[in-house]
Amino acid sequence: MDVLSNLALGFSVALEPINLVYAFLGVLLGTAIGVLPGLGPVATISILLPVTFTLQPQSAIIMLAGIYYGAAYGGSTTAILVNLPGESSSVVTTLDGYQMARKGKAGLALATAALSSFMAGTIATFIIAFAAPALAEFALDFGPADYFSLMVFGLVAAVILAHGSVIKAIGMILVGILLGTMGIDVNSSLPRYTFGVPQFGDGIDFAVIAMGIFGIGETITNLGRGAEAREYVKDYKGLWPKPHDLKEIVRPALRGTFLGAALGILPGGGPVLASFSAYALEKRISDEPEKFGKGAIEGVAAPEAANNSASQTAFIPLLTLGLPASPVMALMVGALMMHGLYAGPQLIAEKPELFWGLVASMWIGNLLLVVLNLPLVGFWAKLLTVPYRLLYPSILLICCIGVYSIRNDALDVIVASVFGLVGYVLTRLQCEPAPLLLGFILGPLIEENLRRALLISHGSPAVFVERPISLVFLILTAIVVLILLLPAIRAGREKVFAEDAG
Amino acid sequence: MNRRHVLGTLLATTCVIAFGSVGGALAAEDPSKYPSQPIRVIVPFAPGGASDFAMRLLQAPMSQALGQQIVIENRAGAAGNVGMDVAARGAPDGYTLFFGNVGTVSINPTLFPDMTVKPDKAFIPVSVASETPSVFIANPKFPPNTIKEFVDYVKARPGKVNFASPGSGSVDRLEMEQFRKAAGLDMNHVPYKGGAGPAVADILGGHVEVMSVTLPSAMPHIKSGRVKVLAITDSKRSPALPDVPTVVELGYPDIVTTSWQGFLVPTGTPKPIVDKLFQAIVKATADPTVKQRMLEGGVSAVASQSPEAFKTFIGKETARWAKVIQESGAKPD
Amino acid sequence: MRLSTDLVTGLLFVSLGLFAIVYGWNYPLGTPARIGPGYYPMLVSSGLVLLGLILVARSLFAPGDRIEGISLRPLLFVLTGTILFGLLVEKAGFVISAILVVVLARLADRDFRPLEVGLLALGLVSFVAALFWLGLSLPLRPFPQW
Repeated sequence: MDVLSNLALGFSVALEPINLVYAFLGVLLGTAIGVLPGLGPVATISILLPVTFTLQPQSAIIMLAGIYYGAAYGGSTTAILVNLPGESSSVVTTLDGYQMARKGKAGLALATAALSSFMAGTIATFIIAFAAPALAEFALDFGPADYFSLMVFGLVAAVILAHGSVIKAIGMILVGILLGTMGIDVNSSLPRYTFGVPQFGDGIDFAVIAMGIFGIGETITNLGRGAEAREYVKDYKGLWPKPHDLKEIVRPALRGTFLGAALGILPGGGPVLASFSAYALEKRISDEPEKFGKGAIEGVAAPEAANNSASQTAFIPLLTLGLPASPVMALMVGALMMHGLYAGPQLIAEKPELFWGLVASMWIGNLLLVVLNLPLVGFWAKLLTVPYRLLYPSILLICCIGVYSIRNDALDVIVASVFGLVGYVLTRLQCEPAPLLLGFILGPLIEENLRRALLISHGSPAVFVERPISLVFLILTAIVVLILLLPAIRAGREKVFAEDAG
Repeated sequence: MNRRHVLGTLLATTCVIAFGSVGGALAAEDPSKYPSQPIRVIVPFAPGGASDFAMRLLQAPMSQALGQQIVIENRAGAAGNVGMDVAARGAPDGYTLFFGNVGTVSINPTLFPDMTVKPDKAFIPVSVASETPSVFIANPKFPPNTIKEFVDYVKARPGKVNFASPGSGSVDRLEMEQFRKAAGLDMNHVPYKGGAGPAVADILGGHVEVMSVTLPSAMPHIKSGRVKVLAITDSKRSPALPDVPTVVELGYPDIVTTSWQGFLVPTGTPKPIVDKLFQAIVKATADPTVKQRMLEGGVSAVASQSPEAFKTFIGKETARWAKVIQESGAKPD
Repeated sequence: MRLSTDLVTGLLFVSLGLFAIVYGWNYPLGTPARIGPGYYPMLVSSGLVLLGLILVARSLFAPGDRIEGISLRPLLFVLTGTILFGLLVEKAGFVISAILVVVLARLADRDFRPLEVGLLALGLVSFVAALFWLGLSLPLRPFPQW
């Protein structure tokens, strides 16, 4: 097998002591910074990018990949521990991960995240090694119409996420979409809802909204509770997964892995779409969907596996075609350029040691991540026993600094404060913030692709049903809508109202 | 660019006197001791982008030429306007530099008339640092193989051929608009978001037919044969693509364009400091490693003839793009 | 007078939707082939207004949950702290801004222990200085510069 000899070459590069050191350093730094609220993978890599410029190309790209996984994993850690999604793809992890932590199962949740991610990482590495070129061709087949239908499907599936009122969830999605329209319109250069503030020209950063709602808003909510209710966890139990936990993790993680691998190769909201469609899928097929949102272990395993395999397959278009599918990948292009390398098919041919070294280091990076983080699980879980009166000022301060450092703009901190107020009001009104954030991420993609698809088809909406990929997603959307509506229709009004009241 | 710069020098001789007197009085420290502390360069785009790439390459040789550390500060946002605003508010003491480009300095003022910074008033141009031509690329399955065939093809299908670009006011879009007008074509513009990547992806996937894009963004796909090149917007052929005809050869000499990046300092910076920086940029852009690295990506490292020449150049660029924007309706009304 | 969460949410949706419609009234709607920048926000805001009206209507028939009390003290102190941070971090430096965030955050709670707050502020400022300023060399200013 050619692939096997290539993989052997890759491992010989990745296992060179110096590269192992850089992979470890990358994972370590990535985790350390990614764990800070507000600093997701893009911010983390931007900060650490200059460090890698002095290294050999292989070492640099291996270290960057390590930073990337580390930062992505760090984001999940804060999502579970303090309900702060460090990046968009860990929003879903807050739903059940944080609930597990509140029940004293933070250790189990973190271990679940680490193990699911590792499993996904392993499988995704093999997918890249064996199927990268074919998958890249598939990604190219996705046109604007297909993206539009996929994103619509994603948004409709997002409704499943909500465990309260469906109407409020849809409303929150719409509010998120509306927030996402802020900024200079790409088609016309018209500033929309920027209120004359130049910084709003690019809209609001996801992390600013997430830090505001989850970091600041949640703190206010917690302080409003009695002193007793808000102490995080007094005793923690179940630090390590027991055999029956492992059994519960494996299947959701596997489903999440494959879903994530498929969505990861698509540009745009890949990992985000992956994490919450994996969650929605688990909730839909579960025998006890009511467990979700209250600390279901599947609700951590599936999305964590999905976003990890997606963040790995996101390398496929970059490495095989030279097309960056996400801002992180665009950073990788820049990093390669600094070393005089241009991502693309020539890279595999001309520098096989670099390509295969990176593939091998992906797996090694995932392994290092587990090795690094499993021992830390105990430490993190213990951190939660710090009295809340010491914890929350720290969270607030690090949120402020984190938000400020996203683009060194003090206005972002004030905007985040406003979203803190929004977040507090939302909890008072029993509206869930997760659908808002998903609407915020997917909304702009829907608009963009809708307009683009119609521009290309010269205004003919038939394009959405004529293209097979698009048609498939529209049919799936219709099915999900039916599934959502059926119980309501069947059970009549009472059931709906009862659900809302509860 | 040479022709332009020679012309620029001639036109700019008057500016020399004007600029000489602006600084002086404001200088807080003896310019002969400059630089005595680290210099920060505001890059108005995120790390990893074209501007960041060029600046990071120039960082070491410039720092060497000036004998001072150079700190890069990425202030991305609003098409570069955020970073430009930050730089404009910096003290005019030579310790704040702005690494602008054609978009921020010459296109944004027309595109966003409400923006707070007026680059022509807020900055003194120091020197250009890099230039790159664009190429017209198409999916290999797109029937026309030459510009002539392309013109005939579009003329036979008015308004039906789509061209991609990374945004309404992007230089890539304006270049195609310029060509469209010169050749008398009716084409449909399809903008993309997030840099050239997504637009190029749809050229590769065959969802959009053609686009104009800077050489570095197209290079890997040209090499892999996933796109074909119809023309290059330069006055002479690129050593990297010797078979690709220039727009001059093809009979469109007016649409020779480059995407450029260059250094500016806040208005009020003393003339001796501007000159010192200029000398450092001349040295840095002549550095063999910098030249080589940039060339690999299709970018040439070049400095202006003089700060005044750069000012004239910017003035002409701004006027040119303003005209294209007005004629193409790229601006929101 | 009972304020149910449905009623208030509904009113909020309606007002936000109406605001977006009014503010974006001049954004061109475009044509099917060339959808303008106003089309999508208009569609979404109208949807929001509609959902809001449904919620309002429903709250009149089935009252649902009432809004629990608003805790003004944490709301005011926490937000004052973070907003002050935003206003001051560039002028006064991160040391003063960070101390303000920590102290105001603790004032949000009735359990204010001066010594503990002092130590906490000191520890956190050192942490921020070591990590963000020295370690990551982010462009932060530690002290005021007038």
